[in-house]
Amino acid sequence: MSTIESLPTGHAHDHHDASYLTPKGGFWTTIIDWATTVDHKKIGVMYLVAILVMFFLGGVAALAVRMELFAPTAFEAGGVIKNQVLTGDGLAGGYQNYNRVMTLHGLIMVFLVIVPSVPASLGNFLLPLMIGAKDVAFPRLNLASWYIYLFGSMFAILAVLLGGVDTGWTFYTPYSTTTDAEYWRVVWMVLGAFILGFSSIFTGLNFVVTVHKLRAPGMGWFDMPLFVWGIYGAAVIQVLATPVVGITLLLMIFERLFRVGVFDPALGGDPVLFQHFFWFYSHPVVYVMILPGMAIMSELIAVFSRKKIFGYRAVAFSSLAIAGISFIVWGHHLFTSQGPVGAAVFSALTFLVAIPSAVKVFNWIATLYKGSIDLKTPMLYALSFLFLFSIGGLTGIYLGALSVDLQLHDTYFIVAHFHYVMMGGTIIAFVGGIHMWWPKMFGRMYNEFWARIGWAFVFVGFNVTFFPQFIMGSQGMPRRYADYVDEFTIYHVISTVGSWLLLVGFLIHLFVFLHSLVAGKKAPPNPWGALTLEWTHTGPTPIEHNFHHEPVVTHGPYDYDDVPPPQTRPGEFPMPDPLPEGAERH
Amino acid sequence: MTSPVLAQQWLQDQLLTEPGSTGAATTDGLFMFITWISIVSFVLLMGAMTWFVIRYRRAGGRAPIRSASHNTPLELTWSIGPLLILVVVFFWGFHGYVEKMSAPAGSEEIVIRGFKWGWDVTYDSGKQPSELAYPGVGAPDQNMVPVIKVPAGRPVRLRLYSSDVIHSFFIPDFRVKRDVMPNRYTSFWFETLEDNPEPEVIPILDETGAPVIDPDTQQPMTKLQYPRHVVYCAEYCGDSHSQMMAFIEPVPEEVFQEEKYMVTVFPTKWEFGEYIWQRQCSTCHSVDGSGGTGPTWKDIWGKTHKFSNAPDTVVDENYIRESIIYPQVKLREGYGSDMNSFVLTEEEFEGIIAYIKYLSGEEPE
Amino acid sequence: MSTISTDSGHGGPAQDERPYHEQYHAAHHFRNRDHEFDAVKMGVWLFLATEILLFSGMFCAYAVFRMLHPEAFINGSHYLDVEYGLINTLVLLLSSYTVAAGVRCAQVGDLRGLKRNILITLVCGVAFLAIKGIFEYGPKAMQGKLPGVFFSYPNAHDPNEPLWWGVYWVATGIHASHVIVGIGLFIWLYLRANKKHFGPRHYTAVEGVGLYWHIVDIVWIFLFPMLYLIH
Repeated sequence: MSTIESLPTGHAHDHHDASYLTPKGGFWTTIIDWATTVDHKKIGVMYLVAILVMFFLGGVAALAVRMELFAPTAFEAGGVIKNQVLTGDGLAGGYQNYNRVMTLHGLIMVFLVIVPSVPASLGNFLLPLMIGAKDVAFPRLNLASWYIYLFGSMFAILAVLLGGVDTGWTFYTPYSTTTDAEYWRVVWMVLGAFILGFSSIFTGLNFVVTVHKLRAPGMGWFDMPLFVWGIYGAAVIQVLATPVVGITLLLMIFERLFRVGVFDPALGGDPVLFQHFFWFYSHPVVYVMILPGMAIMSELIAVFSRKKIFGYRAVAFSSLAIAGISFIVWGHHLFTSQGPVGAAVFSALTFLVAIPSAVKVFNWIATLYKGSIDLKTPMLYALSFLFLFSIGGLTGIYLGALSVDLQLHDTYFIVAHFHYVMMGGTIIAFVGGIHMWWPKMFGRMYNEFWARIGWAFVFVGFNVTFFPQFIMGSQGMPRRYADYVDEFTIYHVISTVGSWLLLVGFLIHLFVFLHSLVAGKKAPPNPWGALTLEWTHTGPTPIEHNFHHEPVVTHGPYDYDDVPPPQTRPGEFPMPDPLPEGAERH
Repeated sequence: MTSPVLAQQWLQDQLLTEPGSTGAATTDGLFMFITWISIVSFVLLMGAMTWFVIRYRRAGGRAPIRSASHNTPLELTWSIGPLLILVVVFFWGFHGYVEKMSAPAGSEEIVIRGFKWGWDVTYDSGKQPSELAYPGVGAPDQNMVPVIKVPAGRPVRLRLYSSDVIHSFFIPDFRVKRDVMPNRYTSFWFETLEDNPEPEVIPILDETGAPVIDPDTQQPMTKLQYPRHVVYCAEYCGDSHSQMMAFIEPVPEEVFQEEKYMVTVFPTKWEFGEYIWQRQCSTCHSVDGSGGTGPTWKDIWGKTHKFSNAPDTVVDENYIRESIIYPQVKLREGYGSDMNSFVLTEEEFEGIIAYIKYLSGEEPE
Repeated sequence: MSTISTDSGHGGPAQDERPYHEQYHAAHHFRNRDHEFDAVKMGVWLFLATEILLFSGMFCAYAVFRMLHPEAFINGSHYLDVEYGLINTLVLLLSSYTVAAGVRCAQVGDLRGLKRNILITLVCGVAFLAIKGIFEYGPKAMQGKLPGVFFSYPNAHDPNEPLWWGVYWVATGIHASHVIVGIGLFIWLYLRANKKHFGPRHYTAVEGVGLYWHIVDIVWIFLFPMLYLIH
């Protein structure tokens, strides 16, 4: 790779050639080193572990929800989780426990998993490496954001240990400000979400400044890998949208504690104002979730088809367009509660945001054209993303169309839609990304065969779980129901069986990862033949401060036609014939 | 019929229920239009993807082939093309939305109050629906939901409000829902497709499920029932959200007029109380001693109960009245604070007090 | 590894007698001090953008409720003491001037001037809270002009006045909590200035806290007319 050690360096220290993973000393020294580290790579790895643990918890809740809906036997017989999973502190019967588990699933998956998932783990690890920086702009703030994440999660877990909340993850008032009045659970949960917001703001702020100020010499805005563009777009939204939910949640806490009345119609307040405030954050945050998934996609597609991303600028600008438009479409969550003028405006704007997302999909598929496509596990996940995200995106058209949305709003159709986008998009890309960068993060290869088996289970299980939900939704099955009429039984049964396939798939992945950590083959420095800066190290993992010298960038991130990948054997990755003398490059 | 029409019909039958209103028929047109667009785009995209993956796979170390890395006319085409289709979808959808929202003059108005957890329906005459039905969810003796009769083929406007949290009145067969807000009215309207609905003859059943026999003729009693459309609550509202249902039954005009002005006479106060219980209290309070969101009413009269936020109290008239108007003042031990204040008339208070006494064997039957 | 500087601020040979701000090196991942200063300043500006968005939620709520309950809000603003509000505005404006002057002192290396200006700003911040607490919050709380369920003022003109007081207390309360944080930051700055940490070559913290204080000031400049003046 043509990174030239050209910049003058200061007084030379001893060279730390050691991998960032090398223990600093004995067991406790190493633990303290990790707990106090300001190294973005270690923080990224710690985030990854925490997020996977939370994903497991949220997944257990999801399986419990599906189990209940598999056999929501009659009221008097007591459903599967009605009285068994969580003890209902003496509250006899009812659907309370289902509602709490359903809320728990939503809260964990949104606030603790998907929002931080890609940016905080892979983003933290890769962003400085990809732009040739030695760390993020504010390393201590980065560590603070990790501890704030833990701190906020503790409040959320406290609320669960006290019995859980049954508000739904959207906390709609006045239900959320009046339910369970004698307990503090809702306050703890909302406080947790409020604190997690700071973690999100600090991460986003750090990334924006890092991308602006710390790019290596020679790396202009359009020389950045598209991963950086996607993370950057998400970071901008995180910084600008999260404060609004901050004040909203703060007002809600005041409302619960002091009955201030801003969202309570009984006290002159306005519950729809809460919905506006909430979605002013929570719609943009949908793009905080998906943009990093798209960011990973651009890298996977380019690396495993050895092609320059088709229409690089269009993909980069579409990230910014999505970030921008995302702020003015929140009202499409309120089609059934607001007036016709607002509905018309928000419907039109919603269709506008569909275009940049569609453009990205078109460009990725066009990138495959004339490539050299290698169906390794990350690429299988990238292709699954195209499949699932297309379904998720196309079903968004139904929901943007006003008259159809009056039918589909708050039914399983919307549940299926956002699972196809959030899980089929972000989580699928995330899992693909973990596979791609696993060798770089841990220095070991994973077992390709078993990873592919895991992928097959996840892909099939996902569709079996969520596709029937579109059909029952368009037939009228409302969401957040603990019980349903007989017509929907067959769809719920299929869906639950699918959730078991998903479980098997993710367990296989977990096994593959653990096996790799214990007994995986040592990874070569650049197993996929990628061109971005994180693959330039001579060892499998990055060194402690990323680069010995500030790299100087002389080629684009995807010039696979002309630049042999760094740290690979000659001929390991086939190159096209060199351009004839005088021929023009595309 | 030609095969595309058959395909269209088959697909629509899989995805949607039979439309029940004029608005539903329009919406279904747009729904199917989007469905076909989605299917065609999805097949094109996945077809291209699959073809590229097969054709250009890295078999035997094959190198990529040089090709253009961008193409402005192509990219503009696939940006602007979909936008044009989406403009059509937008106007079509907006048109259908306005159609569902603005009721024509002279619509039959029905006022519906949502509460945790049920729908309280009032016809223009001030009367309530005479019939309750079991929707198939929850316990049959507890979850009886109102059957709202509407005049078939005539516009009906629903005016909605809530007395506690936000609910949403959702009629899948009419492809419409509207959020039900506290302290604010919302509304929508519909006109059912059945101009002349065909009734079914249904035997009348008693509480045990046995047919009721007419004492005069010794024949099982029957009634006419027209095809019904189910109503759900679509906005999450707590414990029994999934039981908060109702039925809409389009009936001929003369049947509707009869229903609208029907006066139900209750021979005793406790039977009136039972009527109130079925409509407003039964989702949370059982009358057979079983548990629920709230405590049972069986055998409580005159007993002393423990409270989590008040001293022990005997169940008497004052306690019952207070618990209905100010449910948070005394919370029974082991129960939450889910109940909201209910506004009842004096007759209704009397009825409920009599019913609770009756359930403890106090009032003569 | 070879970086252009030592790890954090405390580096340098032990025998270096120059003051802290002279021997200060940028953190290892920055090219030099200017690079670091630029990045920190951008970070502070972004943080301030989030602050503005936080308060804009409150302004938005005010607008909505004023539209819903104009009588309660017009009445409500008559209950507030414009005099104290005005005095507090002047106090904050003065402190904004001194904080700007403090940054200037740091830039030209006038450490005494810097300390003096920080002290005046600190006193202004405390004075703001004192005036607010003693002459506004205190009496209003005694009269029962409190938010929501705590409202017990007997002579209310409008049933929605509790809501007005809710907006008043929450908006000024969040602002006051920012003033308290600011006071803490100025104490920290003063202690560091006392140790000669700031000078022409290193005054990032002074600049950052100064920007923060300006935002606190500007938010008040909007809150004052919104709550006190518009009738």
